[in-house]
Amino acid sequence: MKTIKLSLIFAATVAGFFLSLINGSVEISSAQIFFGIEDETKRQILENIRLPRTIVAILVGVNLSLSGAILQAVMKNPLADPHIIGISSGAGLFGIFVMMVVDDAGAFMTPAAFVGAMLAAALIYLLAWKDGIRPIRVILAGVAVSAFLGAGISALLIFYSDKVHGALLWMVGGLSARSWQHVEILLPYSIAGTIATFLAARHLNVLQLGDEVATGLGLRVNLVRTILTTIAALLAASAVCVVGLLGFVGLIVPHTARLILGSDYRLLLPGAALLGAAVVTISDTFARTIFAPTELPVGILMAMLGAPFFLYLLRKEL
Amino acid sequence: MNLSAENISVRLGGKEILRNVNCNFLSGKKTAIIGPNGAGKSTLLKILCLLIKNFSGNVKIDGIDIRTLGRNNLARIMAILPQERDAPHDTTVKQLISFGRFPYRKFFGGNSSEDDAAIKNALEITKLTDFANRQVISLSGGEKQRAWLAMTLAQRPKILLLDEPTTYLDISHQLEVMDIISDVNKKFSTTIIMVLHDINHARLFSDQILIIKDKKVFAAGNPKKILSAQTLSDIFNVEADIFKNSAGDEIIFPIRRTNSEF
Repeated sequence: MKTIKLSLIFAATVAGFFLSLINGSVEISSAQIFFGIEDETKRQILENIRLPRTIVAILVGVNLSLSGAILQAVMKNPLADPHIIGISSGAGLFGIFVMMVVDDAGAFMTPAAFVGAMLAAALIYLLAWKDGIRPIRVILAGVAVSAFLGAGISALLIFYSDKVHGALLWMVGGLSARSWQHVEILLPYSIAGTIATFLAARHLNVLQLGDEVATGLGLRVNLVRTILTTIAALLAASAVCVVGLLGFVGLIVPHTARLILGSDYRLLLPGAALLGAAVVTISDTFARTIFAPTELPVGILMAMLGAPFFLYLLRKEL
Repeated sequence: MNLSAENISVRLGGKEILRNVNCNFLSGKKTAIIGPNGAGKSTLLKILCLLIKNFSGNVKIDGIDIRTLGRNNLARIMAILPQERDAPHDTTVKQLISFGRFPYRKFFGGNSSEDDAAIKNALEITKLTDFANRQVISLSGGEKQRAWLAMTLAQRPKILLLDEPTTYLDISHQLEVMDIISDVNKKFSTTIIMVLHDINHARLFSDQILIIKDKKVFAAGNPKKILSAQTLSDIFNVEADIFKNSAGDEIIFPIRRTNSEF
């Protein structure tokens, strides 16, 4: 039964992939994708615009979903996601700082955003720590750290108001003009992060039983938690530095996967990764075609879909 | 296996909880730890299984310091059923019990035949075989407690630590859980260490009693010998009657507090 559901999610991912390739300002038929395109311009559009953008969408969806799925178990909090607990705003502050202060910032943004994410995660971890991690303290510390980092971002925007437009686009989160170089930035993080996360599936399952039970079962809770938080930060930071502060994917997707597939991380992780890829590719396809020729940043569409869905979850589960 | 604690002292949050506690839990015996609220019983239990690590003194299994064993090795020898625990809402009884095999996991591959046997065995001894595919959340309090107990049994522990295993259960389910614990002790010679609140359970179901009061060991030994009306008055400030019930067991029944300042 659950294998069928997982197969359906996989089918949605494949559908998202092709929808994203086919749709846009230039029509490309599915036959052309499989049997080749004679028109040189169309071929260029497919190979150098649509394909890398679609792959970036898939990788970002995978990274953010896995990051959220990890954090929900590690922080023992269904509300944990990279955005809400400050990992994204940490990456955001450092990313925007580099974008504003350094000319030609491209090469530095990934490491800067990564450092920012790690620092934000560490800060929240320290603030929430008192004889172990308590869910309520994680949320409160996350809110405080996010507000603090948000103030930093606002200050940067005011001091460097000439560069606000680029920063604004980055903060909303979008996939426009993402190309092969972005695929190259993301891919190593996605591959290493996905493998590491899948290997930790059983550890994540045990963590859900509570710290004392997990310790009694031989899990080195604090060590595992620190490693997994690092992996989650790495996944989120790599996504955020490529597409900006794309919200809600890390929250909605793991929860939806949990509703469909259950709480066993051995099934939940691949489900969340595939669903994340499907959600981002399909949302991005809508975002760039719905008001064509104007392109809506996918972050806006995701937040519009994400907020109501989040409220629905709150009413249903809590 | 024999478990012993030597010169255990611990401070938590700046407050002294235990001072120079020495105790020995005999191999294959059931020991009940009793004492007033806040005396440090649960803290002692958590130290015995290294849930609390920043204590002074030593805890030894057959003479080997447990701090040198490593978490995973320790989990193959010793299981703990803590009070604080949680399971995702869709976890089935069988899934929960299979977590007990976590200390024996291999890097790749699924359940071994040994895992399956241990899970089946745990289901049988806790009489949960018919509930294997039920969700834990749908069980009654007594069944839930048996399911968590079964998880610890799947660890195949030589030493089993239980923190107030009968709390929140009605009298019938309390006896059911105590019977299962006695059963495990008899079948596998598991060393049992349990924090209990019910003095009569401690008296009836244990071979040895350890009384903790005011951060120290107040008394230790055979339950029938040390649990007199006088000890009860000393530990709990309660005047009690001791009488024989129809099964021939001596039962303690409190009458009134001896220092009724409030």
